Amino acid sequence: MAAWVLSLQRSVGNQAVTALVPSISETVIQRKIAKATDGNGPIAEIADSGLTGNEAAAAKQALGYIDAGTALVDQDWAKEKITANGGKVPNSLKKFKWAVAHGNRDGDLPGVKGAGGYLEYYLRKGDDNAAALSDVCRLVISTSTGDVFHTATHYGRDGSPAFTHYRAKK
Amino acid sequence: MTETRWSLLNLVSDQDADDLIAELEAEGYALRVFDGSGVVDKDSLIAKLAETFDFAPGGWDSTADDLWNRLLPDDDEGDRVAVIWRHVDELLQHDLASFLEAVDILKTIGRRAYSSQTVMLIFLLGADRNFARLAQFQ
Repeated sequence: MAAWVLSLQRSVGNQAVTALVPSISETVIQRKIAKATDGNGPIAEIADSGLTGNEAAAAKQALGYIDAGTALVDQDWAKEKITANGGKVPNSLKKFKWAVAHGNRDGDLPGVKGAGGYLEYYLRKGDDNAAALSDVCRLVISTSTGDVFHTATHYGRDGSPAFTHYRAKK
Repeated sequence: MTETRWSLLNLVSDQDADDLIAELEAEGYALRVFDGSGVVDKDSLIAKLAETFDFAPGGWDSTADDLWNRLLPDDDEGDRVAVIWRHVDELLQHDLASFLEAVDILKTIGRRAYSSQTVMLIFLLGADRNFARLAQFQ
């Protein structure tokens, strides 16, 4: 028996390999292996976002800043808050998450549950800076694939789904 | 009086809770006190955190985010905050996995806050020998 078949048996079990080996190509087998051994997918299927209205506008604005590499303190609305606070970053602005690690602790996103691998960005609620700090909408971006996910439910707390898929890797 | 050099995470005897709170207040820390009495699993932990810090209960991710917003200092509270979790040994004894998750959430918040010049200290208070008397920190 070929070495790669023995390796497969060790990886996914003899029964699974026996079912695969006789009739299909190695390419397909590799895909099957990935499926058989990958227990790290999201709990639920993640649908495309299809955002509209204010949610879409807020996400678009944030992604514009993210794609341009604009730091939070360099965004016009944040500058206004810093200026109003005598040039010092106010605590409320420090709480506005921008490229803060997201833990994926509930495993709603792809990857190892609780291992992170994502950066989180708060979305502003219109032009009201104060309200922006308490909104529930966020973007969460995979650091490995660049995929952008959106939550309008505070990670599923306020309903389903926890996340939708906003944009694939650029 | 010399300030105690605290660590990000400190294990202190629950017998010294009042003295600890007084000392931290004197050092200028905003305080967030959580009573872990009756907290024995994930559900009771999140429910009591939500009740104490006034947010809607959810999963770990939403709880981590809500704690970020409730624990870190507000605009009028300066740049130092101390989180004091009393009777933490109840969860520790009943549900180690949830205890570790909760501590990881707190430490993650504390480390991130420190990178933006905010100090968030964590105090876990319990009754067994893992929790040192306050005098040992001087």
